[in-house]
Amino acid sequence: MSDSISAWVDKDEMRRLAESLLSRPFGHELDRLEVDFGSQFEGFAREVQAEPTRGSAPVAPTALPPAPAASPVETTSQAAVQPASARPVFSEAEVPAASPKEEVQAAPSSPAVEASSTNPSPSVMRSAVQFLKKAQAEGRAGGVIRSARPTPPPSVSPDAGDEAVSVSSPPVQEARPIHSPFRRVSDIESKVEEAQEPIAAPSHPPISVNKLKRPPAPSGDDPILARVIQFGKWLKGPVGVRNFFVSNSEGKILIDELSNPKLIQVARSLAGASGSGSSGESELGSLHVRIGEDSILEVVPTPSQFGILILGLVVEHPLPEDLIHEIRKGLEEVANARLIRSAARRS
Amino acid sequence: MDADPQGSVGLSLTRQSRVLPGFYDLMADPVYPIDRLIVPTRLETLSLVAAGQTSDYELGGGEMGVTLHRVREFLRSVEGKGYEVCIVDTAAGLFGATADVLSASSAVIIPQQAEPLGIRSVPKLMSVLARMRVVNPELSVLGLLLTMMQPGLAESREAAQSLKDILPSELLFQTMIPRDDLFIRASARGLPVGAMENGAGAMAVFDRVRMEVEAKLTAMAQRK
Repeated sequence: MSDSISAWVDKDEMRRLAESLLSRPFGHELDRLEVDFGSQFEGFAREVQAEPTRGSAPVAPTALPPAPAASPVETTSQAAVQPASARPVFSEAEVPAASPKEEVQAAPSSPAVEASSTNPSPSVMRSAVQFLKKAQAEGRAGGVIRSARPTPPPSVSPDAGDEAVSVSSPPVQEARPIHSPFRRVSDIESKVEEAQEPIAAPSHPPISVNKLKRPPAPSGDDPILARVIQFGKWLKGPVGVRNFFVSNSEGKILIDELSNPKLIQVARSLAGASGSGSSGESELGSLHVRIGEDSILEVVPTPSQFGILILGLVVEHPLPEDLIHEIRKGLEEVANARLIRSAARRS
Repeated sequence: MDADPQGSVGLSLTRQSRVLPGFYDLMADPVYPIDRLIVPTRLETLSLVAAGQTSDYELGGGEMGVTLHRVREFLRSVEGKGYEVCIVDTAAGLFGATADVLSASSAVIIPQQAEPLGIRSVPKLMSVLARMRVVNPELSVLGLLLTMMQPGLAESREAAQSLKDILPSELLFQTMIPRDDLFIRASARGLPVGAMENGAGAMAVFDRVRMEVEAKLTAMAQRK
């Protein structure tokens, strides 16, 4: 690797990041949704496997290949049009089901597919060639966009009703129904958005730390859950949190006012991604993600005698760093109250 | 769909893009009729959504999450209309609308210029994408696609080779897009490069990209 790059990047770190991008994030268990390709779907085409080429021969220079002597339109259209019915297929039964281990390590099939390996029918090829010629000719003659006129946004006079709106807009083309390889957006809609909104608290910006009343000192004689509940009253009172939960880094719940496992998973994943598993508070930082139009999930990893606790707060606005620090300190005292009490008695 | 406030995708194809409503009008007004945003083209399988006219977002819309819900609603709507693929061109950087689009998408392709400065920023990019996948576990990284490759320039070749040496092959497109004057001439004429008179070679390059993308999507679907 040349000095202009090797001195700037950490190769091992890059490889680690690359591997993480190819695997499922943080062991998140995704719901298995059936991809609906319809009753006519017979299976995926077999791809030609190419050898992986990491660290092999230098990159061959690539330049735009010259237009081939034969009809360029026909050449390219062979690659461009591969109707499903003409592809060689597996039967669905032959597609192996991936084991959990294979999901992480399996490499996708090589992308090198030769156009000549498929054999579309002559009539399909003819119509594809004609279609492409027509599109290219039309494009060169008048550009890509069909509409000759711009389509300004509608202007409506204040007194006019809906009938008065007259807009000239390009004709809308309804696309033909095609089964998409993508999961339906509605199916993968984040459960975060489905979370029941907590009972609306009055809207107010985060309180300034200077004006914040400290939480009541936790009693080491009380069980931890009682201490956390008391702490929660402070969170929802002076701090202005709507709801909260506390879990450990493994997902075991101490208290949960949201009843939303997905939010807890998001919080654990964020805490894990921030590397807050073993670091000191100075590196824990502030983590938050918007979960609704006026809701933020603030994630506060907190060290304690039980390991890292994940405190999740649903708030209206992101909390400032100094307030996060106070909250973290408060939860730390709550969690370690018995240790503190024992230490005080010994001294 | 052009989600870059500079609107280069639309501007490279038609002067009308300067006045067409588009993505940022929808972000500013969630009830903006989607039918007015979708612009058909002479290519029957391709429709466009321009960047739009609203400029307020460029000044105050840097926070992630502000438009996520609207992006998701838009994608649901076009999916309901039967569109098979929605390719979103986003602005550089991983904040604001770009972050929201990533949060709502099922896959991402990362174009990267084949030059040392571009390669040096790849680790940061991958780090942020890793965190983005926490918010959107469905987001699959199809890979880095090297662009503006200059085979005659040693630094460009070395940059590409460096990535090949470091990254898993699954994360790097085998096809590289070369730098060529044809792209400039095509945008000057407002045409896709494949529609130019001598654009067959360029079309073949992008067709290889298309085949790689299809194979990766197929593998993605099989894993799920």
